[in-house]
Amino acid sequence: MAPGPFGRWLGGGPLGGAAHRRLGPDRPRLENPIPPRVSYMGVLYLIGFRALPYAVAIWLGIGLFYRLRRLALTPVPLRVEIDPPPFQGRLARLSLFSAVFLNVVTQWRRHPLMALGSLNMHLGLLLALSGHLRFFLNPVPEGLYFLVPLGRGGGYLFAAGLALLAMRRLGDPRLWHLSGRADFGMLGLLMAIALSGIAMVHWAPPDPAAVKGIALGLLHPSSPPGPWPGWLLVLHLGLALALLAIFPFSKLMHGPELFLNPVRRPGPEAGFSPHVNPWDQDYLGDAPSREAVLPGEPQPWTMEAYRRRLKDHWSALGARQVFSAGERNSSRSGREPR
Amino acid sequence: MRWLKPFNLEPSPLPVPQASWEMSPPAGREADQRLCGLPGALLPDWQETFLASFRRALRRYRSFRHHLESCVRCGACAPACCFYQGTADPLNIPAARADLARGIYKRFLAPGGIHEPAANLKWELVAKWQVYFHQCSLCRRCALYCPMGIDTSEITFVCREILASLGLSSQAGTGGSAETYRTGNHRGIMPPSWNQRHQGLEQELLHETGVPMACPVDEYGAEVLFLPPVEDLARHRAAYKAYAKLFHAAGISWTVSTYIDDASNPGAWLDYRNMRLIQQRVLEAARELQPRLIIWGESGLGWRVASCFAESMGQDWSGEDYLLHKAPLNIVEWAYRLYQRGAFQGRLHPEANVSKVVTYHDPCQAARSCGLLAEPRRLLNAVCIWHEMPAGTIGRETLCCGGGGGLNHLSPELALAGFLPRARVLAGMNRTHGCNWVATICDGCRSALARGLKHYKLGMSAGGVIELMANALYPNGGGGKNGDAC
Repeated sequence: MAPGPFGRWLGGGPLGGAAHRRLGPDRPRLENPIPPRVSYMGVLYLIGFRALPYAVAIWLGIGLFYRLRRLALTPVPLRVEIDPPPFQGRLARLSLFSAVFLNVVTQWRRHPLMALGSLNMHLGLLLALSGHLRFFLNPVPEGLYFLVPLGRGGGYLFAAGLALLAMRRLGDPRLWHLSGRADFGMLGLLMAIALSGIAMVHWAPPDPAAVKGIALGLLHPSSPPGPWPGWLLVLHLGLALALLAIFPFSKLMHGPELFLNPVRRPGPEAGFSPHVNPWDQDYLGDAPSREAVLPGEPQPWTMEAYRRRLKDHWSALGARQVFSAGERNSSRSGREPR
Repeated sequence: MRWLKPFNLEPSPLPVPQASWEMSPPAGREADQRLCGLPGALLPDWQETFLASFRRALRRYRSFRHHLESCVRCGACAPACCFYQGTADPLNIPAARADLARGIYKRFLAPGGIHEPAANLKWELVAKWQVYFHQCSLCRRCALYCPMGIDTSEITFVCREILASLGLSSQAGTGGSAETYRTGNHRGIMPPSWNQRHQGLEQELLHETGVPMACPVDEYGAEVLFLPPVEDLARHRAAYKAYAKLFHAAGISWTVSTYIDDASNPGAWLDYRNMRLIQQRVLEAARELQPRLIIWGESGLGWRVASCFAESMGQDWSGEDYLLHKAPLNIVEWAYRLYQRGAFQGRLHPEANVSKVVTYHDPCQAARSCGLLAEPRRLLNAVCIWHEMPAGTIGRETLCCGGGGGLNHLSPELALAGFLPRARVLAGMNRTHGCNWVATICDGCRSALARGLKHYKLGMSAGGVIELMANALYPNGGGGKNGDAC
């Protein structure tokens, strides 16, 4: 194992931390040292490149589940759909399709700069992530080699889209009122991830064995620690993990939550069930609060007063006997008036 | 290629940003708030009530929760909002308006955050809520332009509900709802007054057309229970008389119930409970009068409540045996169906409207939420010469008249500001096509347009589609006059 950056101050080294401390720095080196079972370096490696990603993944899963479940279980009391999708029937049921389709098509004409930036950004992210697939496959199937240049181009697209969005945010005075720390911070975080990735392509490519070791180590957790991958990759990975950790509690949730938006949901004509308001029963038998009317204030125009007026009106027109609706129904059916 | 230059180095095309708080409608009166089931004045322990109402709203409305959680502050809503365009107040950008609620959510309620104690809620913030959540006309244009489909009108509606639970409301919502409970309509026209007004209308109609036309009130067994747009009765009698003419031409008896004589629903400007109570009155009145059809007059939010919301508000009409059509009907939709079946064949005289060069203004609610797009246009094709406004300002992308959401009566400056984008378009229509008449199918739009057209001196009048149709049906009566003469 390479000594790595922690070697000197955590007792790592060619002998491994425990052996080094046991023997002391002044002792002569043994000809054939006994390697320690687990070095400090190895423990750090396992924590940083195995346990942390796993913890972040679990955290992300719990967070996403929690947020989306809570949103999905919140009722949609009223029909608030807008902009019915351009397709009816079975296709419209794919709310994923309609949501994405509508976004791309409608925003393109209205906000070209934003559409260009965000399309570049999202598409580039997708391509760049597909380029990362090769790290997790050993050996890489020959059919997937085309992903390498695609992923590289995706990285540039990603960074370019972010730059466009940042320029737009800085350049539009209307956006100054809206933008806050969260907005600029997220752009900065994504940009740092993109730039560190691009730097590893061009400026300081890391040891392929180290990258492969980290990626494959995630799939095979019991495998031994691999070589030290270099600071740039640690930065890239750390920022990506930070992004995933804050994902469920950040504005990035706009993506998964888009598909639960009742406003973008296709209406009942697309086959969705009609709206049922589960809490409407709280208001059953509700009436304007008459006891809140103080003496001297005008009284509400209630159903009783209205029925009296109808009776007077119809009596004046010559009716011999006037029933109200409830009495009429009860005289027909024999039931109590409602 | 303007979009290639992201840095806006030129001076902003908008007016200088200014605070528009003075334009907000006045706060609700104490007696009105009590009648609407709200506290009369701001509660002493309002912080706790505020957070409790906020939590309850998060539990109740998925739209509210979604919209608070998934805004990316991209600013796409800023050019979409008529009130931001008109007032240039940065807090009127829909995302900024929603951020007033989003900030509270993040500081006091969001999961994964460190929650501050309720005492940290300052009255300044609630004052901002009271101002800016009553500067939105609930037109939903921002929802159309938002990439995430965030509907700021939902946030506005829910935040008004939260404010109302504290004892803070606008006079439009509480006053309108309380007047509806007292008199049956939000203008406060008392029941005996309806008889007088309708008798006056009968005389005017006889004078105009030479035909006796009945305008009955509280008539048992009429075929149509009509929900009259009370704005029209108060401000635009020509449009109101047109409904009587249409019913007469169709040969259908109609009546108005003084228990609910209002096509709009002022409860929708206030909260869910009052919206539901007012909608409930329609069915109660219908049970008394046993009509065959229930038809809404030209109205915006009231029609949306009836056609989109009523089914979730305990309004199942399937058990009402006396009804022929067990769902709400809009008069424009209904008139178009009659026209399509040939009910007016050979009786429409478009030459009666020849002095009018008409353009059509889509009301926000009818067009965006209820999809009432084709029917009024086809009726216009049959009865007048008209020109469509430019794309992007019509149909689902229609601009606001400025008067929606209860802003019409009590905050005229704000309504004028919100009308500004539409006024620019109308000025262009006047210049290019010589349009002198704006037709619309919402009584609130009509009065806001009439005020705005007069204020901006556009030389146009506002009227209704049914009004044009009635002119064509009875060409001798009042056809040559401009609509908003009253």
